[in-house]
Order: sequence, then structure tokens, then C-alpha cells
Amino acid sequence: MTEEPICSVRGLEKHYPITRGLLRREVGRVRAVDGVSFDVERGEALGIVGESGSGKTTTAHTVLGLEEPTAGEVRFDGDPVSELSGDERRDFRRRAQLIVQDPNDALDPRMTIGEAVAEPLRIHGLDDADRRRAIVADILERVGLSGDDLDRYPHEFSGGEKQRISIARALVVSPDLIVADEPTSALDARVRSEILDLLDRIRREFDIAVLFISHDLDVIRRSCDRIAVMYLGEIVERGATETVLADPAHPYTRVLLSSVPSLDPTDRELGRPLTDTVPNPSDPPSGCRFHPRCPDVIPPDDLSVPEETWRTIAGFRFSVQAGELPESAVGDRESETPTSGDGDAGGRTATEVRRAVGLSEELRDPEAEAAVEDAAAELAAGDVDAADEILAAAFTSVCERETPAAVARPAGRDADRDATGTVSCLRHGRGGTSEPARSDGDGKNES
Amino acid sequence: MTRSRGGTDGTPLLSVRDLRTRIRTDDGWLHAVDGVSFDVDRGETVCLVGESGSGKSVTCESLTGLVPQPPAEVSSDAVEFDGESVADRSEAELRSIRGRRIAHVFQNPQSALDPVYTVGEQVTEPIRIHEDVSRSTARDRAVDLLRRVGIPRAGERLDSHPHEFSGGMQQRIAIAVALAGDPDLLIADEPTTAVDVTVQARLLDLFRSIAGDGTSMLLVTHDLRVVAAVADRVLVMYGGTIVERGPVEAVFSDPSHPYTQALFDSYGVSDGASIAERTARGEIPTDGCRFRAECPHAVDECAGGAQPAFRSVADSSDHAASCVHYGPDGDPSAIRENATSPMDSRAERGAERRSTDPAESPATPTPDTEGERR
Repeated sequence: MTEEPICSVRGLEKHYPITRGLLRREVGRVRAVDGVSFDVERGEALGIVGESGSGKTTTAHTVLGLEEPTAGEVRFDGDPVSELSGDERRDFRRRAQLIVQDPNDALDPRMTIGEAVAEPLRIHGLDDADRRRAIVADILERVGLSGDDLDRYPHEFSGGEKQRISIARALVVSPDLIVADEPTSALDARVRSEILDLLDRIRREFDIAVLFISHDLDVIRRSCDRIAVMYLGEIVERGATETVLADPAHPYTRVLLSSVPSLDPTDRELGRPLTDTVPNPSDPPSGCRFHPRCPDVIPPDDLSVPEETWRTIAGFRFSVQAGELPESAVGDRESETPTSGDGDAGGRTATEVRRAVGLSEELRDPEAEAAVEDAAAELAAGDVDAADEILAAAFTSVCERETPAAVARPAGRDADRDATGTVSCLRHGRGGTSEPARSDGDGKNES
Repeated sequence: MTRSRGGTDGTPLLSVRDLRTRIRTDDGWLHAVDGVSFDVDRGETVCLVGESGSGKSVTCESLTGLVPQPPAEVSSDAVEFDGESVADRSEAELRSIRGRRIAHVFQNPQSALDPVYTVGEQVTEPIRIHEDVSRSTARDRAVDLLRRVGIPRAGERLDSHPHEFSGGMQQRIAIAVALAGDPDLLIADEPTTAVDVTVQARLLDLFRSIAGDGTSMLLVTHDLRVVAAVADRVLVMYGGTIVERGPVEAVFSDPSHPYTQALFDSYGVSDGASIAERTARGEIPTDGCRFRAECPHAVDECAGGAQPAFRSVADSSDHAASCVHYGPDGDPSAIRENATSPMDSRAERGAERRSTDPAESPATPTPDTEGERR
């Protein structure tokens, strides 16, 4: 597309201060969105997918000017949204519309749907009531309702029909961009399917760009040309929906995809991250934010153990850090004090701890072996923090030191550069420098 | 592996015949459950799948008297649990069965957990109610249970309050409370609907492991993916009736009732030549086939009387649909033509499977539904 994007986001940050005390002293910041950039082209459907806490909804609200960004810029049709005022701002509010998850939040129960759909027209200056009524009737037909429904109230409609009404309300002012925040999450599968079809048809018919915000990969897969995957306030991977979902390059995208159960009951394996705890967005992990949960976290350069062993060690390390260890792997600190002080207090030994975490075999790498043994001994004695320190010092990954830059996704089957997209993962290169990434064994590294 | 529960071998753990629940509303009687019959065998996981309003939740709640009567009226030919009738039990007797032998887990763990009490108190409470054990024994059992459902460092967290846990962990705790009475049957109503997919994956793992221990499960969900992940058998509900039932693999490889097919179509697995436009809206019929108003294959015989008799749809005698076209005078070939099994297109998950098992990944890259786009 040669045209300027309808919406352009650069370096968007939205931090919420955490305050404490009477003076509301700032003691920290929730970095809900932390440096997000993307474009929404005219008439395209872009999907932002992520789990709760990923910042996808905050991103949507900031794009619409519902929240002031902490840093970065949102441009709508070329103009910075934060600088719009007066008529320009009103025009922006007309041209960029929001559809929310629960249509009950969007519809006033005391307003007929005719009034509800006409309201934006009235606000934006169409004073002729008859004309408004005609337009509204037309729009209702277009979203699959009837002009006869004008004088009915929201409670007379099903959830899917109410969502159609809120789509009509967004559509009636001829927007250029619709932000759809989980538009179908509250709906049954068949209704969801109809609403997505409707949004799709409207987008094509009126050439409206749609920014889908969803946790549901099925929704994105079905409706979006392009996808951006968010994790803890950052976009970790983006590209053409088809290629990203068929050939995910970021380990988080892979975990996300494989966590969705297959519709094939003979294929019941579900993917899992290295650890389950989602870090606190006020204190995100250093380097790559996914590293403590990443099954493909890069081993230290000087470590010489097989990849599979490294994964177990990394799982051990980050489980200790996240406090996720199985009960059988931690000794009881309290029973340690009066009776004995060495090693097996709480009835556990380092050997038992190692067995519990799957590292009972002696490691070939002597330094790694010493670190694992020491950490296991501390755990057996109930000192989790000491074990954490030992493991962190011995097994530092480049993923926690370096923040991965967005690099081109490895071109898969089709080498169409536009469809390739980007991925922010050190396995795929550091960006800038052309240092080859380590292979994770499935040929996805850049070379 | 089925635990020996002292029941008679061969009889199902739960047997429900012609369950009917109607609810008085301002507009008259709403027939929420309208003649539902099914069994749950020992050690089996049965999924009730349907849309909101299909009666799947009311079915479960009617079994143990959780539906308030009035305004509801529950009747049945039989509801037998472990060979004994529960249909005519008193509230006190039901309460004793509920919680101990039959336990419930709901969508929202916040509604099941009391914010005022510690996790330990809430897990030990059912143990102490249903069994005569000391406080410390109950506490040890609670730690075991929390460990069982995957709460890390359970011993240390016994004195925490529910709000100190994430939503997924709260659901685990609610499951621990449900398991505290060592139930024979766990009824779970949309237990993973309110959580993220990565959290859902772990909860589904947990349900499978509970099932693996021999606990029977009746799981209510609107999500076919959840069904595919945990079910042994499936009951598809529409308009207060079961319209199709069978082993999960049979139903998923060969969805046979037009409603089941429509449900699968909405997951975007078919080639688009579906019944995408719902032919009618509004009132669901209360006689004959409830789906007929929306059904592209509806004929005159669909109306009137009881729902169509269940007929085997294939060689598998367990797999049956309530549809006149499968009857002696019917011809299901038109319906058959429409059927697209999600198992035909494994491509959608081909990508992420590649890393774990390259052999399993199909060569065909994209489902047709996606090829049409752009």
C-alpha cells in the first residue's frame, strides 16, 4: 500500500504509577504498554493478540485517545492525536470508533435502539430527525437487523443482536477505523462467527480499517490480515496472520498457539511455557521479558550440556526464581533450627531435591554440576533465596542481559518480504549486527 | 483406571432418565431442560456442550438440587447415583451427597471461595464436615490436596487468602475444595472460561489427571476445543434437549446432527459451503426437533411430539443423533454431504506441532477458509 496508514503508532508507552500513602508518593510503575509501534493501513484488519496483562486493551484505548500515552505518538491520518483540538478532535472521535466486549456496556437500556444508533449522528451535527431515522434504518438493515427494530429497547435483543446494534452505532458516522476490543468474547460460537463475518463484510464494503484486540487466536486467524503478538507490554512478533500462525518464530507465539486445544480429540498434547508464573508488569524481567518462561531460552556460552539438559536446568532455575518448585523439592526451613543444621533438615537431601526437579544424573560440565549440587543443597535446607542466587550466577542467559530488537522473521515457505514481519527474539538475531543466532534445532535461526 | 468405589459393577455411576426442569417466568413456563437422559460411567469424563440457554448448566444443577424450587420445577423418571435414587431425596440428604460424593466447580472461582477465610480453612472445611478427623489431620490433607491441584509451596500458602492468588490458581483452589470430600463425581461448569489460554491448558491438564485418578467428571462447556481436550463422551445440547451423543472421537470425526455440524462450522473448519446464514431467529420450538427452525434440512416430520428418537448414525452404536433423517424412513445423505470434521484439517495446529513431532505435521499448509481471504 502506498497510501499513508490510517493510524500510526510509534514508541507508545503507557505507565500507571503505583502510589502509596497520603501524599500518593510514587513507589513504582505498571508498565502496561512499553514501547509499542505499529501501523494500521487503510481498510485492513490488524489483530493484536495477547493474554491478560499484555497491554493490548491499554494499547487500544491509547490509540483512541481515551488515555494519554506516557510517551510515544499516535498519528491518525497523519496528524498526532494528542495535538488535535476542537473540531479536529471531534472529527477524530467520529472517524475512530470503538466496539467493546459487552454490548450492554455500550447501550443505554432506556434508549430505543433507533435513538442509540442515531445518537452519534446527532452529536456529530446531523440535526434533521427524519434524515437521521432514514440513515439509522438503513444501517440496521446493513448489520442484519430490521428497520422495524428502531423503536425497540436493547433488552428485547439477544447478545449477538446487541453487538450488531453497537456495530451499527459505530458504523453510522462513517468511520475510517473501528477498534474492536474482544468484540465476540461474550458470545456463543455460532453468534461469534456471524459477528466476525459481519465485521469482515463491513470492512470490505466501506473500506474501514479494523483493529481487533483479542485473546482468541481463532478470532484473529479468521478476521485479520496481519497479527501482532503482545507479551507484557511489548510486541514480540508480527506479520501476516497466515504466515505467523503457520510458522511462529517467537517462542511465546509458539506457546500461545500450542496452548489452544486442538479440535482433534486424538491430539491432546498442550504446550507449556518453562514456568507458569506471569511476571508482575511493574517489575518486568530484564532483557527479553519472556525469558523466565521461555522453553527456548539461550544457554550460557560456556555451558557444555545437551540442549535438553539445559532446558531442565533452566526450568529448575526459573522455577526456583518464581517460587514454583514442587513441594518435594524444598526442605522445611523451620524444622531446621533446633535439631540439625546440615543438608537434610526437613527430611530432604540434595539428592532428593535433584530427583524432584529431574536433575539426578551428574552433569558432564563440572561447573554446572557444582552449581546444581550447591543449589539443591540450599533448597534441601529450605533456603530458596540462596539457591536462586547460586543458579542465577551460574546460569546467566544472554536473554536476560540483552533486550532483543525486532528483526525480520525468517522467511518461510514464501519469501514475500511484506508478509515476513518481525520477531523480537535473540534466537533470531540481535538486530543491527548480523551475528548469527544460535539454532534451536529446528532450523528457524537466521543465517 | 477406575477406583473401586464399592458400587455394583456394570451400573453407571450416574444415570439420568427424562430429566425435565421448567422455570416459571413472567411469560409462562420456560422448559430449560426438556427430557434429558444420559449416563456417566465410573471413571468416565462426559462433556455437555451447547450454547448459552441450551440447558446444559441447568441440567447439572438439577441433578443435585442446586436449582431453586420454586421458581423451578424439576422432575424425572430417574436420577440414580451409584445405584440409588437421588431424585426424591430431602434437602438434608442432598446436601450430604453434594460436596462429598458429588462436587461442583463453577466458572468463577471467586464465587466459590470466601474472601474472608484463608485457603487452608476453606479446603479443610469440607474435610471436617464430611469426616470425623482432627484439625491437624485435616490440615495435612489440605496440603496434599493443594499440592495435588498444583499450588506451589502449598504448605506455606495455607494461611494465604484467595485474593493473593491469580485467577488460575484460585480455580485450582476451588478444585481442591471440590476434591476435599473425595467425590466420585466432579461436576464442572465452564471451569476454564474465565482464564487465559495458557492457564486453561494447565487446568485442562489437571482435569485430565483427576480423571486419570478414577474420578468421574461431568463437564459443561460451550467450547468444542475444551471438549476435544478432555472428553471421553460428548452430549450435544440444544433447546433443552440432547441432540447428539457419542464417544468424542466419533462425534468429532463425524458430526451428524445438523446442529452439531453448525457448531463445528462456526469454528471455521469447514469449506464455507455451510449454513452460515441462520434461517430463522426467535422462538425455539418446544416440541419435535428443537433445531428445526434453524435447520437447513428441516422437513414436516421434524415438528410435533417428542424429540426425534435417537438413531445410530454409523457403525458405532454408541454414536447417535436425534434427527428424523437418520430414522428408518429418512435419508441422511444430504446432511452427510455437509459434514466437515475438524479432524480433516489438522493443518491449523500443524505449525506448533512441528517442533514436538515433525512426523505428525501435515504437508498441506493452510485450511481452505484462509486461502479465500485477502
